[in-house]
Amino acid sequence: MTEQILIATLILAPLIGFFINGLRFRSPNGVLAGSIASVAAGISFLASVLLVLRLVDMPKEARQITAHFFDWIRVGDFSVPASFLVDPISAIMILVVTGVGTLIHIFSIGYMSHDPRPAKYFAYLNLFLFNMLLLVLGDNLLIMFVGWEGVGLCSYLLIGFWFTDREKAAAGMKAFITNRIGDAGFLLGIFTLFFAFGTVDFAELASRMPEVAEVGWTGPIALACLFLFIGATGKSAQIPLYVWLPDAMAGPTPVSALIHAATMVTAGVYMIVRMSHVFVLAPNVMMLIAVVGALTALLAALIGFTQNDIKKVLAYSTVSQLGFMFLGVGVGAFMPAMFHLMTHAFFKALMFLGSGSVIHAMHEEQDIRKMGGLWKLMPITHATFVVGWLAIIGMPPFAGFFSKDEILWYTMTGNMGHPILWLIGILAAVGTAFYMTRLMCLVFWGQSRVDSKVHPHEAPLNMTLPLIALAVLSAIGGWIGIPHALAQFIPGHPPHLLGDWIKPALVPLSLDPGSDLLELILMGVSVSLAGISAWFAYDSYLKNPSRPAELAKRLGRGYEVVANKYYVDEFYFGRIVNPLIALSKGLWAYVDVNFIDKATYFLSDLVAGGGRALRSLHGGNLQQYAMYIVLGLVVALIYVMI
Amino acid sequence: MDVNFGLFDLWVVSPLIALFLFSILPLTIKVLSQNKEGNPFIPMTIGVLGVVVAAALMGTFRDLGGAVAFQQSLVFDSISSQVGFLVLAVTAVALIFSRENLATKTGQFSEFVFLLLNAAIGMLVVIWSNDLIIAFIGIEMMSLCLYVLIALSREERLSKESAFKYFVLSSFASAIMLYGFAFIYGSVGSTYLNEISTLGASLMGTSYIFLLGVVLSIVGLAFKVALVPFHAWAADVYQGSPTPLTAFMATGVKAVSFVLFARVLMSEVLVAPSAEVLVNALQWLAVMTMMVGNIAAIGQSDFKRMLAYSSVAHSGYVMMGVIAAGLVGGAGAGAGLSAVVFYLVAYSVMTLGAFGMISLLEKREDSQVYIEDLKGLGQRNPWMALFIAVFMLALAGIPPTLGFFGKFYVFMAAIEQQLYWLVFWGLLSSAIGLYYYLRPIVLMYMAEDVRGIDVVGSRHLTSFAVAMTALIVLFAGLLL
Repeated sequence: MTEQILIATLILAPLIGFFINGLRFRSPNGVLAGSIASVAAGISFLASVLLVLRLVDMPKEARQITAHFFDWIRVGDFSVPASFLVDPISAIMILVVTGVGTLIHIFSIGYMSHDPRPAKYFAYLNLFLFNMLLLVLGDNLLIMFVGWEGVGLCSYLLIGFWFTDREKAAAGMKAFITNRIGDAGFLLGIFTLFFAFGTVDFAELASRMPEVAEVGWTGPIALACLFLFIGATGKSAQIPLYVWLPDAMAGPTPVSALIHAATMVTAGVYMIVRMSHVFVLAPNVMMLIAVVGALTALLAALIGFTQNDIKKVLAYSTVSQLGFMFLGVGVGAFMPAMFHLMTHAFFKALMFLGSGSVIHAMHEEQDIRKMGGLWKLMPITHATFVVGWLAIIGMPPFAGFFSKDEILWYTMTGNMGHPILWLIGILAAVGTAFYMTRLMCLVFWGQSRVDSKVHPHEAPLNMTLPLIALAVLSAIGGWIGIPHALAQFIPGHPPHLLGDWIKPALVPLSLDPGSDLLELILMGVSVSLAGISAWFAYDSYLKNPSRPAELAKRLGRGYEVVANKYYVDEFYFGRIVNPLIALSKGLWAYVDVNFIDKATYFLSDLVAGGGRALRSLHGGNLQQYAMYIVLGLVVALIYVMI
Repeated sequence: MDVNFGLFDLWVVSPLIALFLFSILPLTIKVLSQNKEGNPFIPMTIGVLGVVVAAALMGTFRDLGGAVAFQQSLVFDSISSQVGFLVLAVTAVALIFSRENLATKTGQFSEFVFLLLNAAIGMLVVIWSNDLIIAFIGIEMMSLCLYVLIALSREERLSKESAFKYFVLSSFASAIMLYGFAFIYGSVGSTYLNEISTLGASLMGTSYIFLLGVVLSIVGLAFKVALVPFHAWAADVYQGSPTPLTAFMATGVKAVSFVLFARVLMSEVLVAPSAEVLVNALQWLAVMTMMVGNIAAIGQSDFKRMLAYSSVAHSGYVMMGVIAAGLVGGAGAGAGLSAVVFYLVAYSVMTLGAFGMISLLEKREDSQVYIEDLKGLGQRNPWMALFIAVFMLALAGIPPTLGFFGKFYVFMAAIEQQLYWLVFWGLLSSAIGLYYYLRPIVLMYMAEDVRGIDVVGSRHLTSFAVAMTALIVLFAGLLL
């Protein structure tokens, strides 16, 4: 098969799945709908594996497959081709999107088995995959933007999938509107780049970049990067636009795993990595990205301490981990950011699916205060969740350890990093260890606080198999990026596979990492701090259950603020949303009704009156019609001949 | 004058011969079976077969690059074949509609097929003609068939009235047109359009006789394509005729008349500097047609009559393209001419679909479909409502339907010739048109069901044809 056909298959398989399920959206047969969707996703995965294998066979510097299908827009000398690019960066993304996506499709068959409209759900899921693939494969900003909007739409549809519940419908709306604010920034970024450089094609943009970095904030590159970053904060839930992601947990749990943990929310990181050639020329914006990322990582982790909904905890954890990725790209550590994106996709999808398994077993109960002791009843879910837990708190040799430490390492020593950023990062990591251990204690360990009417049971095989697969990936997924500092002690000295793979596709940067010894010390610091923090949480929630409440009381006002998520939602609603609504109501009641409506009604009355008048001229009288002809002829002759 | 002709001549008129042979076949069968009308399906199939054979024969000479036949009487260029295929397609669809419409499915369906195919022959002659006299004969042949076709309707009152009106007024206009042709012949000394072109530009400035001839011809043609103020017949005739024939007239007949109109105007009569007044007059005709057509349509309560006025308004849009083509003149009529052809095709497809929908909604041969009747159709019959919505949006020129692209190309062609005011009026009248095109959609989806009509009986062929046109309207614009 040629590469063109492979890429077409990769992209179109989910679209075809969407059409099949979309046309039979009333069907109640969940197994059939799920199988169609899973097969479509599986075909995509197969195609992406084949594509990546071809990429591996190519020489290191020329790893690139492009496929041009047709010209999407042609206006004058401006044209946007519908063409797609598989290179080492997008290769990682398509593997993650289709691989994790397929597992989640399979898991959904079990999870949605009691839902009355499964075909609709799977149709949306496939549509999401299609749009996500457009986003990561497009070789210019406009194709990426189509996917960017498409995933936003699918996210909205799936968050509000149970739209009869007002609260869930509102959550979907909030996600959509917040994303749209970011998207406006993204569009402005595209406009700025096109205005300044006359192209939206990634490769051409890279080639038209100036030699030296821009100073200040107002140059075209800095401005464009700033706008694009606003887009990224919307899609990837960073300060200040992160508020939608926790609410997005109203959607079905597999959706949270796929869209709001593994794939869509990482689009912002991917976009910046894809545009690394541009972003490195705006050092101020890079610094801003790093600061925003670090702060998001820390503040979201702190909120995670206070949440009692299992999915909300995971949601804030996602926001926090995304913050790590942005910290990474902000300090120029593009490769580690992609690395963390990948490992995070594994362990966070695993934990979301695990939480789905728990929620399914608990009959839609999500409050962790009403759980506990589930490890006996759900051994597989528990075992896999433990792997995810170890991965996220950064215990070696699990996946999260390698990627997170690499980001922190670059933050500390890279010439775009800063020790203060590193400190914030470490604090966020310590916080992560605490609240994730708290989650484990309350859900799986300790005494059972389960309602006596509920009888939890282990999930069926089609739900546990994806869990096991993801657990394996979370355990060993990090081994493709073992840093040199550690590799020298391991027999065979495994190379940093991911680094070798992705570096040629990135902007060449000399980040000047420090010595191996320093790296080992920093690693030791972060691992031991995380370990202590985890032990402290374990001790607090299992051995001395009264301690957390006392601590909360002692912290008083501070705890209140964190538990209420810093009152950001209240601020947005009080200062922005409600005044806007009041303003538009005023515009409607006074300006629209009094002026605009009256003017348009006048015009339409005028035209309708004209219509009635003309009607009387067409009375059906033959002689009258003949007279019109003669009159017309006479007038025409007079006009032309004289 | 020689009357000999060669093999080439026979080859290029073979579609006409095929159509004629197939047209007498149903009649022959009827005579052989003691003058009893059998299943109307058989004549329809023969008719469609004839159209297909004619199309296949026409396919053998798609691109003759302006070759002439029968001593220059007929010309074969790209429009000849493009609009030729359009005529055949319209004929086939009209046959299909007629088979399932109660007003046309009469005991004389064999005669109906005969007349319709002969009308198609006349239409092909019109678009192929390089000779004004031949064109006139084609128009008369087509018109004569139509008078009888309309009067054949099972419905007694309206159809007879409209056949009579059409006959009287059309003859009147034909007389004016023939008078004009005579003056042109008098000043040029020839009725061949290519010979007129060589003298047209210079005669415009010098000869009043020639100018008189041109104006009279234009008036006659303006009647045929229903330009205001020569349009008054259109609403009555379109409303009174059986719906399949209305569809046929509003698409095929209008298209061929426009081709002849374009051919006459492209004989270098508009390019001369002295022709400025004439160009202005033509622009006024186009503007009045667009405005009056659209505004008059607003006041209508009968769906068919509304579409009749809509069809008048569309003549105005086509006229914009024809003027643009005429201003370029001659063989290099490029953007304007191709815009006209595209518009004619697009307009024909969506109009066929819209009238097909009306045909589906008619309960009896004399039932009228009022716009109010559509209330709540969106719930009763979602597919039909969707089709109507598609056709209405297309006629209004909403992207991405075919109607949008048609308008777009015509407006572009006019802008290329600096006809900015014309384009302004075109846009304004499009905005007005939106009002009545959207009204059926609003009623179908947003009004409560009162008495309501629906598709009666099983009319599979018509439904299929309508669905096909809807698909074309929706997607062809994107693919072209």
